[in-house]
Amino acid sequence: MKKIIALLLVAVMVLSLAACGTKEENTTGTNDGTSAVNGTGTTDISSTGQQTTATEGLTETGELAAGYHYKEEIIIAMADEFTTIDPMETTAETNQIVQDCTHDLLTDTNLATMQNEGELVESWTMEDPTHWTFTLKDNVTFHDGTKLDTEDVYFTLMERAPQHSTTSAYAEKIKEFTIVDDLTFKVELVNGDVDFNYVFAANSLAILSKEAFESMPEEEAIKIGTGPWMYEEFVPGDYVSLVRFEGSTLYPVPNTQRLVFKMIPEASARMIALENGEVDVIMSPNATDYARLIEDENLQLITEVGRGQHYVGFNLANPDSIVTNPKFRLAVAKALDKEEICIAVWDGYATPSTNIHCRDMGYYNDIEGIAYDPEGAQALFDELGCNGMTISLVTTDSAVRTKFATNVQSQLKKYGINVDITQYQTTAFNELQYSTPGETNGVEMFILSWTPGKNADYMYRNTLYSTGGRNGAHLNDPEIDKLIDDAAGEMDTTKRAELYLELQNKLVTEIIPWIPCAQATLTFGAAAGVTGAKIHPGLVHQFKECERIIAD
Amino acid sequence: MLRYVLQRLLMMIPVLVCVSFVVFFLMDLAPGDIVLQIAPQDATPEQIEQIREELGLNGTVFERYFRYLKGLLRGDMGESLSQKRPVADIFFERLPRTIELAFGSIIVAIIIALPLGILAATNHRSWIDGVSMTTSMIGVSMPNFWFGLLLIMAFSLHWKLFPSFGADAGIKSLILPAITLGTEQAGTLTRITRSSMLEVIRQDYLRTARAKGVPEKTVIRKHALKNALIPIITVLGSTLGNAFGGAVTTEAIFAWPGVGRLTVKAVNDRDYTLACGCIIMFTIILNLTLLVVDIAYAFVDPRIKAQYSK
Amino acid sequence: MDKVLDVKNLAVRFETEDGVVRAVNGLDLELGKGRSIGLVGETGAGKTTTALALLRLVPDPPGVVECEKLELDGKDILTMSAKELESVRGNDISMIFQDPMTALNPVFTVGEQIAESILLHENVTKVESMKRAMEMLELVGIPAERAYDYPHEFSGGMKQRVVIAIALACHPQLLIADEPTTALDVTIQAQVLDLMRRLREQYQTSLIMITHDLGIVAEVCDEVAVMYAGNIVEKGTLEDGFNHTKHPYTEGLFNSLPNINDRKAMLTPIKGLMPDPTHLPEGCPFEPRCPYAGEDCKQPQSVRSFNETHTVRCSAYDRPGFHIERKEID
Repeated sequence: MKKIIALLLVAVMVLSLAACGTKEENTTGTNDGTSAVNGTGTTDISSTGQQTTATEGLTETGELAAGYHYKEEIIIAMADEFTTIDPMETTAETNQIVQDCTHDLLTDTNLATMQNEGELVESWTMEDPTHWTFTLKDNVTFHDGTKLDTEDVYFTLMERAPQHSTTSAYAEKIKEFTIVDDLTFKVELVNGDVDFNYVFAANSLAILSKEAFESMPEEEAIKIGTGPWMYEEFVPGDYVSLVRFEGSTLYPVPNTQRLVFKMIPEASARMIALENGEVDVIMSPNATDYARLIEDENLQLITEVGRGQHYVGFNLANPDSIVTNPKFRLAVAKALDKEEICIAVWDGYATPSTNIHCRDMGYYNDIEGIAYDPEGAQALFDELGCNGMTISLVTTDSAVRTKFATNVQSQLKKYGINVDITQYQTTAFNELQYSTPGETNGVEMFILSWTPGKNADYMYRNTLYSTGGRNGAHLNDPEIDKLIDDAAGEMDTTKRAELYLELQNKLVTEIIPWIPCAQATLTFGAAAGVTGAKIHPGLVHQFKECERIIAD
Repeated sequence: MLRYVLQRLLMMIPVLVCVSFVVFFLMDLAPGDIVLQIAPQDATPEQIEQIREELGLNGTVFERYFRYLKGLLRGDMGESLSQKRPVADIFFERLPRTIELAFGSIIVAIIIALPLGILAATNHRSWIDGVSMTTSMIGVSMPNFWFGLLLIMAFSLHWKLFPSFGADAGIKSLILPAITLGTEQAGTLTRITRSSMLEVIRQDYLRTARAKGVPEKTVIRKHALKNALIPIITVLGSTLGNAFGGAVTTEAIFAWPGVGRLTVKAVNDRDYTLACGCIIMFTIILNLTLLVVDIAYAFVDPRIKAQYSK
Repeated sequence: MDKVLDVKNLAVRFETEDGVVRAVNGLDLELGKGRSIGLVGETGAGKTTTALALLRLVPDPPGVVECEKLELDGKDILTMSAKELESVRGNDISMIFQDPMTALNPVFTVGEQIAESILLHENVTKVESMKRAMEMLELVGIPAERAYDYPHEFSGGMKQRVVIAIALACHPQLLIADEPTTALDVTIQAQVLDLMRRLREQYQTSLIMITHDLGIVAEVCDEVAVMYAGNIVEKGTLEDGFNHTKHPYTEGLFNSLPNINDRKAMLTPIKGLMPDPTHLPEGCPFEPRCPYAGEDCKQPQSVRSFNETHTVRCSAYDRPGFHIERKEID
């Protein structure tokens, strides 16, 4: 009797293993169900963040058709947890996504043009890199009914910002803040900065209402912003909800009445919720679900080229490692097939990079970089006698980095190089790379990504400048430092472009502290009729205009 | 009895101090720095130092620990380093949900395990015994998240009976997570029930009851079960106590806003105060649960009650 | 005379993986109203199994009970349903067991346990039953207020009295006592036996006293039946059994008792051991140990009557002039 049961159990186990196996095959196959958004092979995904607009429910003039209405409530599923509505308390993108709906910045990046434009600011002039004048837009209303004026800006930047770790650095850039009138103010900077307008695009510098802070307790005052959405309710770990601001003057009052951000950590759970109709938009769907999102006519896949540069880096300060030899770095750069990386790591939903500078940013140049050249790589490796050597590679423990590292490992194996991969938890990895300047912890190669802030300088300032806080490559080259500084301070845009081109070529082809590999495509899943869910390359996604038309 | 309870409560204090010590030092030993995590990406080394000071992360480990301990003994668990809110607030916001799930799953576990275990014991060595033991083994061996996903796919996606995530639809939201967690708990509980009942079934006083003319069902239900309860209550208590600590995988699958995910995230982020706070709260809750269990013994077994009163 | 118990050809076997254990083999027993019989034998003779079989309490697998006739006060026990049996047990026929330490449920008060019996069989309220329970306690010599105490608060002797109280709470017609005093020390033993005697007189309860102690039989019983290897080898009144002992095994039992008058004499035990109940011989099971064994003993034994009351299972008495050594006392 017992033996029969034992045999039955073994049979059940074997069967379920087989079933699991086939299930995976079906879902991780090559995405042949391609549409404009190509899954197989790498392509230039040049969409600008517009997703398939639903024409159903709209007349030719773009008005609401008869028999249709706007869905009252839009529910968005997030992967991480929202923790605070206070822009100065956090740098986490998850929080900033929600804050983007309720608060506004002085300037921000226009997603369509990728240029820094005024958001609350009407215009500005730069007398010289140290002296700037800004004029606010007129008739902007806060949620508490008060009008936006320079007092609010002064309060935000000069009174509150210095007290918070996320913003104190920015506040310290301003030597003097002068209020000219209700809408105009001047700033004198400590150091000249040609791109100072970009500083105001930092999400933590969202403008707050001085009157609110004077009349309400802090937890209430912080909710008051100028955005088209008002903070409603927050249940920690569960959801945060916003209601539309009926008195919005800066933006048209949203068609949707309520915006709910729900926190669902598991990607599969998010997908199920979307298919079930329980949510309207999901962030970060599993790559394995892309096919279903494309094929299902009730769903859609929204894509956007991310501004994260995924790269292989070298620790140039490690005296015992071959990575300090520029020929070796050149060899590896030639050896890596970036198209293969895009397919292996992102199922083709990525664009190979030739330049360290991110594709959609100002001062990007489509340089040749270092092309894939296996023979050339082999020759260099042979010259260096690398056959049979072992080299270490460190990275974080996320799924993407695992695939990336494994692929690099298998590519370099063809040249007889054994790559030893070690993965760390994010916080541990950060400590490994950055905490003690001068200490390199024996790191040789590493895999990481960098999503810069809003302007060109941010691409290099912290990462490749000698004293940068995120200089994992430990690059210490005075020429490079000079190029970075000169470009940042150059007022003439033509000259500036030339400087950046020189910087990029030098870094990518001569010094090679990084091998830029790919910019991954960011994705949302959504119900078919959803519009206004905009993926932001810098991960602060925009939902201010998110709406959905449904039949009555 | 009252004295016993007071004794137990007092003993919790040294336990908590020890736990806080161990957790604090272990987390400090683990590599990883929360400051680098929360500092803006373009912060200079000086700014990073400033943040470190603001958060009270300067000084040696011992200095930090004693500062923390002083606060703790006054009942202040400090502020979360990543959320800048009092740890107590954050924890107690999420605790009710975890308690809901814990009780929900225990009820499911009891409904499954008790009858199954009793059946197995009263039909010892028959096919019923085999089936119930196999069922309990399946319950224990099934991966939690896999079963949870199956339930979601069946009852949420396909039959649209329950929401697939979240805790907002009241009881309806609780059912699938409770079943997922409860079936896993039922596995162990069934085995304990069965073995405990088997022990009791052999006892002479059941023969006395039968000789009195007590119907067999009553013999099992009243005479046997009450005696078998002690080990069952023990397991129930520790299962419940652990569930209060948060069922991490269940919470992840169902996006259940409980303390399990909170604790794991806090540890991963190296948010010392939040992680320490969560673990200490868990210790307190677990100890209290065990105390309640021990008191429950007294109501089930008069011999134990007599012991407590000495 | 009315018979309170009439058993014909009771056989109980246990079918186990290691073989079939024949515990009781073709046992006949009759008991008159108000009478008491002592069922004597060594451990393993089948006494307890017989008693359990009378109440149909033999565990169903692996036990199999076969019987031609089993009547209690004229009621046919064999054909009763489970429910009918439950109303008979504790009500018409009660049993008390050997070990008082484990016979009571530790999580209920003694009062509750006595009251439960009353509640099961009589139509009274809970309060009433508790009152009756306390009366029973007084009857067995325990202060009534101790009804609210738990078994662990009583000594062995007091526990056994509680057991007796439970058994007699509904005034059964037949009480089966399975070695009730074996686990108690001698002074307590005397008290318990005395108590049983008094209650029997009060309620006219018939008694089957299972024991291995011939002394107790002499004190308490009217009749005696000697069991060996699952069968009764000698049965009769006290006179018959003690003074006119016929069976060699019974003789052996008497010889095993030390003689208080002759301290220096050697004990004469019965040599050998009881037969393996899975391999019982065809003939007399006592034959291997019997000093009088002969060829005729290897045949299946039949019952011989010596007088109205006295029967023996021994083929030796077919031999002319056969008698055992033990002297008869008139």
